[in-house]
Amino acid sequence: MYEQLTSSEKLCALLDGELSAGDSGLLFFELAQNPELQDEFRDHLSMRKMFHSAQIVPPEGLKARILAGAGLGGALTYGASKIASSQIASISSVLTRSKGFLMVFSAVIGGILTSLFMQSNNSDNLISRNGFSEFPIFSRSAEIPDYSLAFLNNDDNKLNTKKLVPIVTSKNDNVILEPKQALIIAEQSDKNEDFVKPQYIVSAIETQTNHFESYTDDEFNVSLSPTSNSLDSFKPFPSVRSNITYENVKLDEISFQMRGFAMRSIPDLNIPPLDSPTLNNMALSLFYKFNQNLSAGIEIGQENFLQKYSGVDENNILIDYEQNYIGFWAGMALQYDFKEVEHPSYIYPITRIFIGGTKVGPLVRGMFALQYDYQNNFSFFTGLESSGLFYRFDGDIYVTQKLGVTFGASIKL
Amino acid sequence: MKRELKNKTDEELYYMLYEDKSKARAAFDELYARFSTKIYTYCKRILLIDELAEDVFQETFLKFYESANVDREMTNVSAFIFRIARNLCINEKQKKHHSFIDIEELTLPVENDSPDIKERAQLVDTALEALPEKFREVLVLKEFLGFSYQEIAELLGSTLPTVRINIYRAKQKIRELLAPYMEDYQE
Repeated sequence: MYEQLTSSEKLCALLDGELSAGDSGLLFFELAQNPELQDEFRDHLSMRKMFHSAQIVPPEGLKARILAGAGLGGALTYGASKIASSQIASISSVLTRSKGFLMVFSAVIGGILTSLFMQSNNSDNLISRNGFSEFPIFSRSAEIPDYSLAFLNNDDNKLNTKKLVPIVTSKNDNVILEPKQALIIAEQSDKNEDFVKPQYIVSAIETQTNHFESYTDDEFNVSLSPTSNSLDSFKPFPSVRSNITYENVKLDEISFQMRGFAMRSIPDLNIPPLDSPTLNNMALSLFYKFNQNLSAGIEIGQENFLQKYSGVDENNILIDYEQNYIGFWAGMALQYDFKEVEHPSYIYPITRIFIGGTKVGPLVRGMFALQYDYQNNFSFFTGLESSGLFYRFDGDIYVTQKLGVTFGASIKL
Repeated sequence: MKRELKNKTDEELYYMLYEDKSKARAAFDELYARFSTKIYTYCKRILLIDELAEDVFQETFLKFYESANVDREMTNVSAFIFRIARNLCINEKQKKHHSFIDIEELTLPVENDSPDIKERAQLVDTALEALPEKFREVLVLKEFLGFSYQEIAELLGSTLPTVRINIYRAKQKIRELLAPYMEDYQE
């Protein structure tokens, strides 16, 4: 059959396994004596290497769509008709192909949600909105200064020399003086011509994150507030250089996540927050999937951190501080999906570590959860999370630890 | 169970698709593992567009699975599934107008520097995409999917000599296009 073929054509058939033994022997004899044929033989071998290295693996997620359409996988398809499943698979196919639309939509939603985060009136640098200094909390164990001696002018005005006693001390004391009342007190004292204003600011506490306390004189009801130092600021964001070029980034490996948490704090203090922003105890993130296991991304969030710290003021008074701090945080996260142990029902464990910070200090988080791939582009997860917010006050480092449950959803672009 | 499935023939796995859901799922997973790369490579090489290739790939396996519900005697699963993929690719291609280039007129720009691995793969892609459809198809079926000349002839409804000469001409053209880069593959 191949007698009429050229040597080159026979060589092609030989390499494709289509040449008989007899013809192959003759061809090898000719090959040994023909350098041009030898070159062609080498080129054919090279081409075979090229072709074998050019196999294209189907994208991840295609199998899930096929299984969904066939009614063989996922909660949606269990018991559902194949027609409905394939229609849903088709809809998801249309949505996933509209990458541009999904990107814009995600960016708009992310912008709206981020702006909602910023609604909080949290005073995270410990300075009140009206410019008054914060009141620290005095604990019962603190020494009570004799302010009367510090600023009284010893004349015959109405100030007496009694030792000042704080109205609100520690959490054991249930008496709380509201800021409005303190303002009134300050105004009253200002009207007293004979009153010598103390060196400290007579002010009200604006932020309700602190219990405020005041010293009162029995007769004149003057309230005083030692100034407090703001917590040292911390810049949590390291500079990151990215060498990712546009050609290397696959847009369909980007996912947008939203999650909430319900966590218990250590220390556990019974202090109400200043206010209730819309998106509190929630986080948004953007992740890029490098391979089937590893993904990295940026995450922002806002949540309550109960803080307890102590320090010494200008008068060497030991002061205990307690507050319910609503912190906006951001940072980088790394997630590992244990796809190797994926259950046939598309549930598998994931773990994530986060490093970032707030205005008051660095924040680290760790999460271990179970994730369920609902379809090609949608996932849900729930699990345990622990976090630690580090902050410094008066030379000491403190940490607020939290432990609880996290739950969320992810959508792939 | 996975090990047992690996020892089963394609035809035995095909008949399992008609059984209860857990067995069907396991059999489907094994068949998918065996054919998905080849089918996807074929779809991608023939259609050239990712979205179309994914759609046809998905539809191929769905139709393949649905065919198991019909009482049929299956003798060659490989040819059967490729026939499904081919018919779907043809349907897809008929929706679009293609202009064909004479195979003798094809050229590629010559690079002086040795390309890295990614560029090599792109060269192969470009060379394959530059081939006319009939040459590209036989080459893909032979080199990427491992069909014999006879099987290709049956799949395409053609004759063995036609398949042989088309494969030869396709390879000669690929060789001519990639001649400057052959040395890199001979390392």
